Amino acid sequence: MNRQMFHEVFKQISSRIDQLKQVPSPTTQFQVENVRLTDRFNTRQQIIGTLYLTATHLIFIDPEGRRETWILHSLISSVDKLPTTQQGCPLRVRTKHFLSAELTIPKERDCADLYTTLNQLKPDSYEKLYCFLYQAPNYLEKIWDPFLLATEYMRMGVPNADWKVEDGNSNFDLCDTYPPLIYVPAMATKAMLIGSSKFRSRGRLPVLTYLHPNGASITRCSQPLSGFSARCQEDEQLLQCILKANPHSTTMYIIDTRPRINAVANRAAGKGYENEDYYSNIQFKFCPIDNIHVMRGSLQKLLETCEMKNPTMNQYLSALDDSFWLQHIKAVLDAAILITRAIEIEKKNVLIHCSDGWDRTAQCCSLSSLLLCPYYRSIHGFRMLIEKEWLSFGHKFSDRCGHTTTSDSKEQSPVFLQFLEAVWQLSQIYPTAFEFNERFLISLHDHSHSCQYGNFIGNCEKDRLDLCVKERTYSFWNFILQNINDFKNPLFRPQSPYANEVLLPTITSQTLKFWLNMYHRFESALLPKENISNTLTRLVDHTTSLSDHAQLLEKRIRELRSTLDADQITLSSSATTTSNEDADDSDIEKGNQSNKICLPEFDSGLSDVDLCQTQQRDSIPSKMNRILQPPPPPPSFSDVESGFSGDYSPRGKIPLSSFILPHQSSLDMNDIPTLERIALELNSIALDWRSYNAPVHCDCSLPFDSAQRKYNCWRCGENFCTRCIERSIHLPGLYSNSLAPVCKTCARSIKSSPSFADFSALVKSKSTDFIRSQTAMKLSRSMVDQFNTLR
Amino acid sequence: MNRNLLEKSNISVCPGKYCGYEINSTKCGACQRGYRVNNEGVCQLCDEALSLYDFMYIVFMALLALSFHWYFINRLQKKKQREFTLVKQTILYFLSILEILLAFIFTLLTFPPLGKLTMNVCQVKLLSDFYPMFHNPIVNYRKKLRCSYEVVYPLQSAIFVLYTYASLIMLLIRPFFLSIIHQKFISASIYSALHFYPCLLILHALCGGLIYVSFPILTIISTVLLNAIHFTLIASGENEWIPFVRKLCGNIQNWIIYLVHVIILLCGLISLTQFENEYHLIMLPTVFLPGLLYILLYKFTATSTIRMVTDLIKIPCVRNLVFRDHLQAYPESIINVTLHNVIVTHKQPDGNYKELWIFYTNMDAIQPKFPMKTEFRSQLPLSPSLASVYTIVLRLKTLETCYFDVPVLDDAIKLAESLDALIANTDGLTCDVTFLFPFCFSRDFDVIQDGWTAFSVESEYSRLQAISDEWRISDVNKDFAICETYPERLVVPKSISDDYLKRSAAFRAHNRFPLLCYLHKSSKSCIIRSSQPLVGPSVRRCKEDESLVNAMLTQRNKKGWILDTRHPNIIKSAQSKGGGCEPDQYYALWRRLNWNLEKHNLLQESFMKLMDACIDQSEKDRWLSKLEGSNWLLHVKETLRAACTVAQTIDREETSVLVHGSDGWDTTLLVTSLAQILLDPDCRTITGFEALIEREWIQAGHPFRTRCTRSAFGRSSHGYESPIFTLFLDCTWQLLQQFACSFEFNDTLLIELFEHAYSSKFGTFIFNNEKEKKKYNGIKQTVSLWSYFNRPEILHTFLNPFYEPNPTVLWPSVAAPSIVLWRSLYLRFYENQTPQREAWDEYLLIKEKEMQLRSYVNKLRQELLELERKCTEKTSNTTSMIKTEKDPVTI
Repeated sequence: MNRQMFHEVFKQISSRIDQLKQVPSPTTQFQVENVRLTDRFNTRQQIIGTLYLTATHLIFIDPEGRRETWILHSLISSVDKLPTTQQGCPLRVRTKHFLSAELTIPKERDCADLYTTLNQLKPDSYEKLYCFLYQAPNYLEKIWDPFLLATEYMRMGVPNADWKVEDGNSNFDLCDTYPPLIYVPAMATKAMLIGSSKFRSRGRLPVLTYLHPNGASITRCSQPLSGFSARCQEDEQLLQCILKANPHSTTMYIIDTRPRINAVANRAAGKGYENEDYYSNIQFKFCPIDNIHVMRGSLQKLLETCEMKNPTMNQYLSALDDSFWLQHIKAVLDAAILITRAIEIEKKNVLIHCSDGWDRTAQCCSLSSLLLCPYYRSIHGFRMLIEKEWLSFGHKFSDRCGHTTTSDSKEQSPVFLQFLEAVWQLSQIYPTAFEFNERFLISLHDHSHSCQYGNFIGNCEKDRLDLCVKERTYSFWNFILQNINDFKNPLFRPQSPYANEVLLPTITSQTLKFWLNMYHRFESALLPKENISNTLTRLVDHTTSLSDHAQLLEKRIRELRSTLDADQITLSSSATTTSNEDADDSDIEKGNQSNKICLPEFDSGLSDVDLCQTQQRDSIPSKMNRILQPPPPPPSFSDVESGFSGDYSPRGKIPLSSFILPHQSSLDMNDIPTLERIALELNSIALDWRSYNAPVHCDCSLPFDSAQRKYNCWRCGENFCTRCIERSIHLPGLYSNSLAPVCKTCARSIKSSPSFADFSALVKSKSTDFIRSQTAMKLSRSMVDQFNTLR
Repeated sequence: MNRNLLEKSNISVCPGKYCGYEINSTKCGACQRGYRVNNEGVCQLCDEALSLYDFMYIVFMALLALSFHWYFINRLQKKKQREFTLVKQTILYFLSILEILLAFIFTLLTFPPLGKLTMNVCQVKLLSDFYPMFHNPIVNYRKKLRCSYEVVYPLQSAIFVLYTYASLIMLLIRPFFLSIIHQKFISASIYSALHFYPCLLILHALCGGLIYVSFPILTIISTVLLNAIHFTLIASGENEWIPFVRKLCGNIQNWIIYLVHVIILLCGLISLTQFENEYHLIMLPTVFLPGLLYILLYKFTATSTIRMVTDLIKIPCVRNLVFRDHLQAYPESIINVTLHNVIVTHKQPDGNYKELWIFYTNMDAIQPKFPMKTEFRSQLPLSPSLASVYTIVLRLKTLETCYFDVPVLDDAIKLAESLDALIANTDGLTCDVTFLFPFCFSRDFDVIQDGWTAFSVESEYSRLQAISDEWRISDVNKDFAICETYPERLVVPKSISDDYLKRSAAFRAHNRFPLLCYLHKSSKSCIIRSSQPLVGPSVRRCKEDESLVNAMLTQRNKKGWILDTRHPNIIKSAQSKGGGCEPDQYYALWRRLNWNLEKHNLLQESFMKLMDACIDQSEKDRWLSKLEGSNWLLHVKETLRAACTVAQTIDREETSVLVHGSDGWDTTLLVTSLAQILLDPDCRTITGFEALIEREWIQAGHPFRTRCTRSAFGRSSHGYESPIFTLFLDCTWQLLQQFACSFEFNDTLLIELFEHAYSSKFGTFIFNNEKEKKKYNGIKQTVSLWSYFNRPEILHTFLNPFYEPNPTVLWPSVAAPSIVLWRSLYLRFYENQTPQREAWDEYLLIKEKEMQLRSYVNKLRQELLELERKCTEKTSNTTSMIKTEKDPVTI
């Protein structure tokens, strides 16, 4: 079955290949049999399979078709030929998302071919990037919800009396790596800005990026071209304006995120740092974070550590220590905490810069904003943070991630990865404070390299505008939005103090952990065998499904009871005439009376108490439902998006309501439920879900490992992998007619059942059998019988 | 009276009390020696017979000297324990008796009547008879008449003579004795005697009269007191009456001392009563009373603990200090040192007072950090803030660190000294178990299931019985006759008789013969543990041991494995000392495998280094390399690998494994218990895990008390402490975090176990083995930890919300990246735990919510169906009643 599926995919790909004229012809189809994939931790067990090379992916499939390894070409970072062994030519493929596969190819010629093709595959211009070829599945559309920098600033309360918006950069003439709109102190004049931008490296003058509710702000810029003695009147004035924009403090911090020695060395090149004599009322500080070259080397060493074959504990630890990776992360976090303290406690403005103000500055600004403002800890807020600090202010994604061959390999550096890891470390310290989970961070990292979506293409806003990415590619955020449930942190507790306040962690070197799920994610042997976060997600999903279902049930009970009462009235009015049925009738009446006495008790026995408890306890689903009901069904996502962009005060509400799948309220279905309908509804929701631990592989024989996201079908409760789940089904058993994940078989059976199309046309004869087949119903029958005998 | 006489007789009488006329002279003055003045002021010869009281007085003085002798001999014995054997000591005792006795006899002989064992004396009438010098009359207010002489002849001089004789005889006899036994240190007894005789003489010269008057009472009081002290010293460590009496009666020395006490008491009584009438005779048997009373009332008077501990506490309470931990500081705290705890009362931020109770057994090490006194003071006398803070750093065994900033130096020093002394007092070998808190802890909760009886051999056996019937329960170790560290009842193979077991035990170190600890369900292969065989350099052989081991090899066709946890080099050196490993030629059905698990002292080093790295706050040192240097994770990894190997052999190879190290109670248990967790799903439940610890650690004789004397910060004097149990918990935690859903418990249980192993109010972990538990009557005297754990409210906190029974064998990853530091234990006091706790609450909430909703939906469904049924019923009724009016389809 799997093989068939693969061939379908393959056909699709090959058919698309014809359309792709840009891709060199020899790479279109390439197939090598008897390739061995060597497992690093289990050298004795080698998987022998077939290797396929397509226009976009390198695919390895082992003979039983159980496991497939798909490698996107744009993710390949290096291909090495290793010395030939008995079994053939080993080829090591390393990717940017830390997969390292050793493929042993029997024939040397094949190997050489593969090697050259893989090396040629790297795009040499932006036009050839994957995002321009990528055809997303149906549910994704080429919709870019507008990110407006202005709304984000409006959320912070800017412009106001102290800060104003300046459109001097609308043609990118002040600074080509800045966004068109920049936010500067209200007192700053145009001349100041122009003067300052000339004095700053690459024209990146000081602009506002974050305004704290207490009036303190973060501004960012690049290093001044001060050299040994140069000064600039306008720049000094601009800094004074920034200082005065904060009414609470008389001094401000200038934080240089470079080590002092680097800053001093830059002086010789005519750059450098602010001279404290020229700028009055400033406090100058260095936060030593090393430059991109050191970071690249550090990551290199880290990856070498990860690739060590069966290291001893001590080898491993010392290699990890020698990579200095965690120390670098700590340096970044320390700088961010320093800035946070300066703003929250000392209430002082902070100006941050490094050399060019797009690497370390971006890291520090975004991390300290994240610590300061709870809004950025939600998924939507985090998106805003990245859009603002990284994309608008020009982090060089293409250069740093090495998207094309044109960029210098020395420009590559894991700056963004470091930021993500710092966020991950924070999320480890505060598990309940972040709305997003680890998977979100990992996929952010992967897609910043994969070029599948247009968001991270190019080096600055201007590049993306020139490439028209919004028209030609898909948006990563859209992808996230569609699969929002996968990226939510189940532990997120909106009412917790950590999710509502400024975070001021104390970071010691012992605090930081090694991010196993990032760097070792393809070695499932190393990862914990049972993953708690997956289990949690499953539980949360199950809760949502059940609470939705419960609502429907409550409604049905209400309806039935009302019809019952109505019948009762008609019955009692008609019953007086005949004496024959009197006994029966009174019996029914008695029954009803006792029922009336019984039911409230019954009610209070379960529904009231339980409901109260559940509603008190579970704020999330009930809140969700409450919020769900009033708004009209918005068909597109942009509406939803715009709905929450204005919704945020800086201190943030609960950001959860922001991401809600579109739905139709089922309140309109006021029809009287038929038995068949109820049976169908009951049948469509599984009461118990299969736990993630039991099955070893999916229905499609794909073996599960602990890192994989698994899904439960909402209808049958079994486990499935991502590919076997469909999401476009409206289950009848759900109150809020939202789309539910359902496995393919269930989807088929629901779709094929005539009742799905038309409930009224449900076969009447079948319905009673249907009900009896349900075990739950059998149970209830026996209960009813008991009830009768008792009566 | 004299004045009266003077007037009456009209003879000129000497003035003063003791001046008199000699018979033949008219000169008024002191009488001659051997005479004393009579009522008429005439000196009279002392010729009265020696009264019983006087005799007893001399005897008392002799006994005083004798007791001094004995005291010094006893002290000598304490100093030179090794060379000074009991025989020599006894000889010395008897010598001293002999000396005194001879001196006594000689003294009696010396005084008139000469050569007879009696004396002529002058009666003592008043206390002042002993001190005539205070009664010298002053004639006409001008001239002092000196009438000082020995009024009470010869009682005063007799003592001098007695002591002189005694010292002379001693100087004659003892050197002779010394020359025989050639041990010079005994001469110390002579020197000490030469010191105390003059002292006694002076004492007698000064206070002779007082002693004479009061010695019977003195004797009685002091014997009663000494008797009590003696009993207390014997009794130390015994809480129960019967063992105390047994201990008391079992020792001949006690009997002797008791008899001596009785005799002395008798002397006192005789001299007090002097048998003036027959009723006094009846009083005689009362001499036995004090001892008997003490024994009878012992149970109520066992106050030795209090006395011992309170001696160490120099300052019971310090106020106004600042109490700090790593995260917060609490000013105005109060520290109270009580009988078993140090109680720190500190004010919470919300104004409430909170008490931190630190058991003495929980204190690990103390580091006073005082600024240098003299220099500091002289330089900075004026800044009180600096000069007045003296910090005491107290490190606890539960890995917490407390800082006490004491404002007063004197208090600080006293506090530090008393804490230091208390820490030293808890040393596992020297400290008496019965002094520990568990013996005083009275249960403050209801026991649902008594932990002492919860895990019996019988229940274990019945479990085994279900798998295989080749085993039986043996009482061979009744009263710990064979092996002290095994429990009394054991499960052994049916085919092996008790005699074989005995012989096999003789062949193994510490008599720990091979014992079954786990039987696998599917393959019926078993894990066996023992101690090393005493092969020795001559490669001894024990056929009984071989057949015992072979009997446990359930799968006959396959070779079993013997896993030796030691490195081959260590085995070699052990062999030269009489230990070793099973030689291949004798154990042909087995293959050997060596595994290099470190010995207990190296583990302790590693643990100390680990915690040193964990609490290191300096930025410069590279934390990871420090962690690497500690080797702790290496030990974790190696242990897990060993356990996996055993599990693999049992489950995949389906053959038995015998695990042993050298003693078989440290690393052996580590491997066998971990392997069971991997293999047996039952061990991953809470009760199963408790049973595992009870069976594999407590009953298997892991010496908890010596191993857990010190934790990561302190060092004990004996150096037997080791974190082996901690390593076991750490390995379990590694499994728990790799298989988060397969364990019924969470890491709270593991942390609690860690804390209780080091310091607890429960008796589960305070004994070294079962024998000791029985000896101190631990089951009756203390409360079991399991009784505490197995109550619903406590058990509730240990539950893992994600638990789903996993019947398979666990195969954990033992690669280096998978082994991670157990932060929630080692760093729990050094990192803020509130976010993690909140996350845990969220876990529980999510799970609970899901469960509630599930049952709620279920109930709703039932309700709905019932309503539905009614509706259908009704429609059918309506249709039968009103046949055509209503459409039956719509309800």
